[in-house]
Amino acid sequence: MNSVSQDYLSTIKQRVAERREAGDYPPGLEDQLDRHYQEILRGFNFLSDEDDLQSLMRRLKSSTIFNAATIETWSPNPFKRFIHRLIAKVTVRQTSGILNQVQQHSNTLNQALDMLIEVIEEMQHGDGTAQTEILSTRSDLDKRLSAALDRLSLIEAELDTHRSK
Amino acid sequence: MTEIHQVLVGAGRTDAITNMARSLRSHLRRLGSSEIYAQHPAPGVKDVHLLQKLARSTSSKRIIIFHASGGNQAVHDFLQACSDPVILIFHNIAPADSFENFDKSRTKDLRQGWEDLESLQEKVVLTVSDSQYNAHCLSDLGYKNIQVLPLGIEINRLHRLNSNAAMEYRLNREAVGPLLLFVGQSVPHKKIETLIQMQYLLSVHLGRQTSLALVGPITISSVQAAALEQARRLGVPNCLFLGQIQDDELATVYRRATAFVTASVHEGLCIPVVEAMSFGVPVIARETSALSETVGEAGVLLPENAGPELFSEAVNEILDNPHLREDLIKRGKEKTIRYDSSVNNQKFLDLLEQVI
Repeated sequence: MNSVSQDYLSTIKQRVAERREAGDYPPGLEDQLDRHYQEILRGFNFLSDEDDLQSLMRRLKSSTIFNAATIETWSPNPFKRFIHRLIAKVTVRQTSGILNQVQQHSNTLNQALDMLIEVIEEMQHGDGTAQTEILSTRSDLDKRLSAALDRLSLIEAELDTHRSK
Repeated sequence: MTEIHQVLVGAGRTDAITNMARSLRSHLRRLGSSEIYAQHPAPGVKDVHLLQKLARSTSSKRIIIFHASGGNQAVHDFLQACSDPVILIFHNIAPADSFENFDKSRTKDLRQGWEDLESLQEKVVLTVSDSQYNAHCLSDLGYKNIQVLPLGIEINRLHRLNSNAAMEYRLNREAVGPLLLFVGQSVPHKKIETLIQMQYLLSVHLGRQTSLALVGPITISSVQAAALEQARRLGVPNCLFLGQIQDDELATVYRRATAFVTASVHEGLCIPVVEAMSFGVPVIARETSALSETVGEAGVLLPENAGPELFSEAVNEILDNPHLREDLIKRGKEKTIRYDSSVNNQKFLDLLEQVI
């Protein structure tokens, strides 16, 4: 770190120490805030992004690359293996034709789905408002649970303080 | 005629790496035909083509520039199958572990990204990284002769835009006091929760009237939702979740910002920091990854494990110490000169000509 930043950092650290001493920052405050956030996160883990639209689209696009080379021609039986490879060579023109048609259809489908997702995301994520609304309309029970968890965090912090004395 | 095409995993309208590729494309077109291809162009991105449309082999002379920022099987297969020389521009890859509890498929992609980089080495004829930190990461993988060149950062891109009236109105109405700004995706390693805790300490514990604006795409929705819930439960006032905004809106927010604050623990370069400095906005960041060099002496660098108490006090220091503020603004503006795309892109073209 350069000396200029080092000077500022010393001042900042000194101020934090003074605030702790004055009680502006109670002991264990950062740990308590961290526990509070971890508690919220535990509640949100059920919102797996595995299944959100963008992730599904990514998986869909990864699986829509059609290539004749990926069609299996191997067989444990050497004669069958030879036949499979021979058929693959003989029908390469037809296979490519079909794959091209499927690829074109898939590209158009992907574009259509992209446009749909764009419309949905503009409605949902424009400024985070929709999510705020969803959160603010969560059940009363959930709000009570939140308040109880907050209270529990405070009690835990107080216990930690007593233990450390 | 030489074809020089750029390949990306994803592309977006306002995405930093796509913007870099766009800036580079206008320079590359001086040497030959040049297009941008991506495996996942975002909806509405018209100037980037689907990677599937780029032939794996061609009779004409062709060079592929690959912007590495994550893993993707289709992109990896394309690079391995194509017979052209590859130029690697490395922007670093987000830490996979931090995504583990949020998005399993993304975690897998990020891990694969590092493995792909390792296996790509034999095809790479020129390696460029946009920071010393990224160069060290590549060097650990066995890459040699890495050129450190931050490419395609159009510093004046946002400065040329007029302020957005609607955003100005919103900020005037909702942002109270000095505006603290963060710009970045809602992903776990950006540690948005620390910024909300900082705003909580400033407003509730210290009684300071500040506002916190969080700008950026909602990449992991549960990270954003948790941040909103955290702000609600703590009762943090003046927290503005602006989401992904247009460039003129972003320019408006930078103009209104008093300080740029990031608690991110991993960055390969961090363009928002460079943008903030160019707008004369002092930066507070953790001394970690490439942030140490991008911010350097032009901002306040806190220890890697800094918590909200240190962040709050760093904000206080910037707000209350006009000498420090002026000093950081001056240093920041000086620092942005090294990121000037017209100089760096030209240096890249010189390197490219040697390869061609």
